[in-house]
Amino acid sequence: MVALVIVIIVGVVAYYVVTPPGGPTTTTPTTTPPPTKMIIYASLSEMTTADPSTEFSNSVMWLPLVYEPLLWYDPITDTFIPALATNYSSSEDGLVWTFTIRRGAVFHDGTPVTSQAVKLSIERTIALGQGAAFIWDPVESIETPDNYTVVFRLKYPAALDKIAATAYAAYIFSPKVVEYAGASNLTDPKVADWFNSGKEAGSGPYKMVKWDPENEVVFEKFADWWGWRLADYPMKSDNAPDVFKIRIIKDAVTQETLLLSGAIDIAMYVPLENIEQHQRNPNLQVVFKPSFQNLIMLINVKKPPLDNVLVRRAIAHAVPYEDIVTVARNGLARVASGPVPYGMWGHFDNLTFKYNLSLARELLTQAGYPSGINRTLILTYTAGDIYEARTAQLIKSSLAQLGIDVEVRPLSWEEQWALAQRGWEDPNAAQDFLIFYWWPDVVSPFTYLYNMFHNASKIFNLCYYENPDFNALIEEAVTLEGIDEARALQLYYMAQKILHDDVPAVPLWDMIDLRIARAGIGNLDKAINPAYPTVVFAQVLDVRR
Amino acid sequence: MPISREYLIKRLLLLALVVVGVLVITFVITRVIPARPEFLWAGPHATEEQLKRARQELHLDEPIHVQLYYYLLDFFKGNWGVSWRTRTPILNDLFTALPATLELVIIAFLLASLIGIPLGIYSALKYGGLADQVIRVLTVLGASMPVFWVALIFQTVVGTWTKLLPASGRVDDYLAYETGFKPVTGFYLLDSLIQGNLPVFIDVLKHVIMPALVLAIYPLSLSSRMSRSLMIEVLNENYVRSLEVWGIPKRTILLKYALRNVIVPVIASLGLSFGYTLIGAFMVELIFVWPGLGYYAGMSLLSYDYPAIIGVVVLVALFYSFINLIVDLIHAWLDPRVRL
Amino acid sequence: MSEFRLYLSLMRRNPVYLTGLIIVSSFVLIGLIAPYILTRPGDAWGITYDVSKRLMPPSLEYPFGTDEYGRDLFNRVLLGTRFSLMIGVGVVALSLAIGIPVGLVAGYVGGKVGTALMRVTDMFLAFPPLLLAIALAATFGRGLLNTILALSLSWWPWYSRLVYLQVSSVRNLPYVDAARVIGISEVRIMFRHVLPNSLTPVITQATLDTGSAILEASALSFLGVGVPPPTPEWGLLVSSGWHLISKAWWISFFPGLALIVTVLGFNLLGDAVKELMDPRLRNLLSMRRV
Repeated sequence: MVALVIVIIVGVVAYYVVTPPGGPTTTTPTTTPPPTKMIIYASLSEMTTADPSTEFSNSVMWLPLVYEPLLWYDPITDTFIPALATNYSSSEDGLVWTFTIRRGAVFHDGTPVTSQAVKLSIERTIALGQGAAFIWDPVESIETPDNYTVVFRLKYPAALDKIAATAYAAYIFSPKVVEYAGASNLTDPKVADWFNSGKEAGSGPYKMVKWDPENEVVFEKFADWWGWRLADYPMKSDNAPDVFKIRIIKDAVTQETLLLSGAIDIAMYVPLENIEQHQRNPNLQVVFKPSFQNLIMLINVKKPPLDNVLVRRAIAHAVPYEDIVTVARNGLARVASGPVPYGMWGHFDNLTFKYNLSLARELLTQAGYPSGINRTLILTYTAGDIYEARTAQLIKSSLAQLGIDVEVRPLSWEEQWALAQRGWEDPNAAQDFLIFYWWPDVVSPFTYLYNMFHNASKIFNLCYYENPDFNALIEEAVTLEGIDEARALQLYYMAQKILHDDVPAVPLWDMIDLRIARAGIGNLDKAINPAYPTVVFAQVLDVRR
Repeated sequence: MPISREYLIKRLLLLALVVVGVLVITFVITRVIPARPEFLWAGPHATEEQLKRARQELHLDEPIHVQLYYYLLDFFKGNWGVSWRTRTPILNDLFTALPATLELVIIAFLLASLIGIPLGIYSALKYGGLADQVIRVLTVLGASMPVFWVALIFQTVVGTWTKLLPASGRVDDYLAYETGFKPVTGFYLLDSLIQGNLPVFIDVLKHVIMPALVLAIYPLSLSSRMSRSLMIEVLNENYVRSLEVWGIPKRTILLKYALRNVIVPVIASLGLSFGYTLIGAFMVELIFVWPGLGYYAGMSLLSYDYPAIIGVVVLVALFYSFINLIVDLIHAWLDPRVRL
Repeated sequence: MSEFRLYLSLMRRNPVYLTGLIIVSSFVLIGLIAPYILTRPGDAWGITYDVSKRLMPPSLEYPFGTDEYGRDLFNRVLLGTRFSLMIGVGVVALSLAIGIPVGLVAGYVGGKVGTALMRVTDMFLAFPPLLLAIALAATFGRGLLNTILALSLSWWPWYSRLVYLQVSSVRNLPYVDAARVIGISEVRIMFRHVLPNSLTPVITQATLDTGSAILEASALSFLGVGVPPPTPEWGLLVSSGWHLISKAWWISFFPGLALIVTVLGFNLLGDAVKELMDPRLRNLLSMRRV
């Protein structure tokens, strides 16, 4: 009797399981919503803040969908694409830059985009002075002679077009946020709180409709975006998705699983060993793009015995660069040559270190450590990143052959960074090696060289390197970027040569970016731009479902 | 058997004591053991100023008992700290994740009990025979398998290689969006029924069945073994033998006497089983990307988000104690032998 | 002596129990000699790697295949036996070392002290198994000793409780009273008379718990809060293969199999011993004609 009941239940359940959803027996709801085209893009990290002036981290993934800068930059072709500025010009001495603002652009609340909005947005960013605000350092003043013209006067020459196209700190938002936030002025913290509560005041092709920074952020098409109406605008598609969702999935295996099951559409992190398999899968597409993201191992140059340059050089020759690329990235990276990544102006190919254990041993002996180092060195990396994890393991194995014992410690980024910060007061309290990624704000070698090696940059110069000659070189180079490129390049080379001799850090590999998506999504290649790391420009995608 | 007021009050007091005890233990873990606890608590990109503020907020410069007082106060006020990854309070995160875990755990637990207990009883009835041996081997095997390994194997074979069932997630996002599914209680099976959304209901069922089965294996084996040994004990009791001798039919013996005496202790032992299921859920949720407490805990562990880890531990411990209390009360209510 | 003979007959009658015994003995043996019988010790300890041999499926030369560093998995699983043995024995020993004194004092002294100690024990028991260990392991950081410590600190209450129950009943037995009357000091009574008689069930339970300890340690390592790479601990090996499971299934599969077999062995052994200890079942055994 019981058996019969069980059989019936199993039968019923089986029938429903086998029937696809929406099959013959299901009743469709009376008002069928029009098929919305939705794209789900997986993010490895949670979204950080939502303030377009100060955000300097993971939220870069969606800021270019909701907000717009004056220009977009394509480093591959070294061209600029007009965004909120239709054209621009600069004076001969590079000190005055004039931008013409697009007519017909509106913010999501309906107010038109004017030069005053541009001025106020940038001034707020400068005033708050956080995140990547430093990119506007060269700016002395901003004038708005009329509603659609902005004039920048600079203290010293700089490539303002590149600066205005940066992925961070260059977004324009509606000055009405003061009203919405109930604040007294733009720099009032209430405005930042308003942004971070999940509100936005952008002019871009998408509006933010849901803000759950740890799980998912959802965007819907902004019907009144000027770009949809422009027939031949390069950064838009007539079949762009109606809804774009960013889902936080903190693990590569999970991203892959969800992608294969169709639960998400685009992923950036999947186990690289499976890439070949996915390339052969007709339901998927794999797109490779050069990336300006690289992995660097910073060395604590103030903690003995690492304060001895011979020891550091020895270590640089004991890192198995090729093997690391093979094992950690399955070949999807280039061995680094200097801290400036391949493909960027300012990169030089002759700054590598040869993997040579006998040379390393010689150097160590010269330094006075013939049989290795007798304390355990601590290497930290960001927990959860398998590429960093594998890189760390290989470095550990290799250094062990020199008699150097390394303890590999995965930490959350916060802890890792906090630990390293202590090194400014007490170098012995911090770790010996810190492995992390760097990627550019303004697309220029300066961001790499300044942030990690200039002693005024306490936040990320976590090797505690202090070299006034080096500082002088890069400070001069950056001002010459807009005027005398050849000379700037020379200076950058000399600066990197110093780093190559001093070894405050060992650049490991330059990333090759990839996205894996289901095959039906068009223009994926166009939607990826190394100057805007992790971004998929949804407005460019061609989706037919 | 009615439960006396004194007993109830006594148990609730005990529960309160246990709650305090759990908090004290986690206090020791988070404040006393680490060398610089403010580093574990300060938010992202903590500046020197923020660290100082953290020290103040955590009252780290004051004597231990003062710290403990504030720690307990914080927990009861609902201030469980803020996760490093978001700016949101951990308690909020936990309550969002809780229904998902409950849904999974309840289904797994039902499967484990409804299959495991009858299996164990059957095995006891056929003591020594082939059925008994087979069941015993299977349940011992089930109790020896690491749940994370089983989950991986199932997911790969059933989900990725053969695609019989979805490999991960709770529901198909597209389907949910297109049919306008909105979570109300957080229990998707319930919500989809309430909204009359049959496609989503079936979809959720398809998503839940594999993780629930995997999760159920250990407690199933456990309850089967327990029921079996308890049943054997009961069957050997003198009174049962007497009943046999007096000629009362086997079936009556089974249903009227033996079963009653087995069910009660088995239910009491389900509490422990539940504990294992909870912890198994951590790993199953992680592997199947089921967005519950376990997934949250697993991801927190992965990124070493320390405040979040402790938050989960406290919540789960409290929840577990509470469930144990309920189980004990049910047990006491059912079992006439317990003197209250 | 008849105990032993009964035990043998049990084993002979039930090949399943015999299997358990064989498994556990093999496990202990391999665990002890593992470092000396490795064919590729560099791979096993995680010191060497060979990029050209990455991700090779099982073959004659590499019975369990190779991992993403090109290391021989068979050697690593073999050495993993040693680590599992150390963890299993370590956790049980340390838990006993903490739990027995607590239970002994609580049970023997009784009264307010006893109740207080038992309340503390109850608080630890309020945590579901492994949860406290996770919290502790996350605090201590990764490491073999840390893992053992974390697990022991969450395990000792079970033994403490067991000892308490035993001691409470034993201390009221007539012969203990007699000892007191003669004038033997309380402490001596506690250690020389009460304790030995209370330990049997505890020790039995403890030896069988070794299997569960190994399983829980592997779970901790899987979650990333157990032993650090490149230790070839089985749980860690399973998690290292997680990312590659659909393509290189052997990396997760074989260590998991090793875990199952080992824990199974301990569980079977445990069943055998329990059946042996239980007087009622013994009656059944001696009466049944097979």
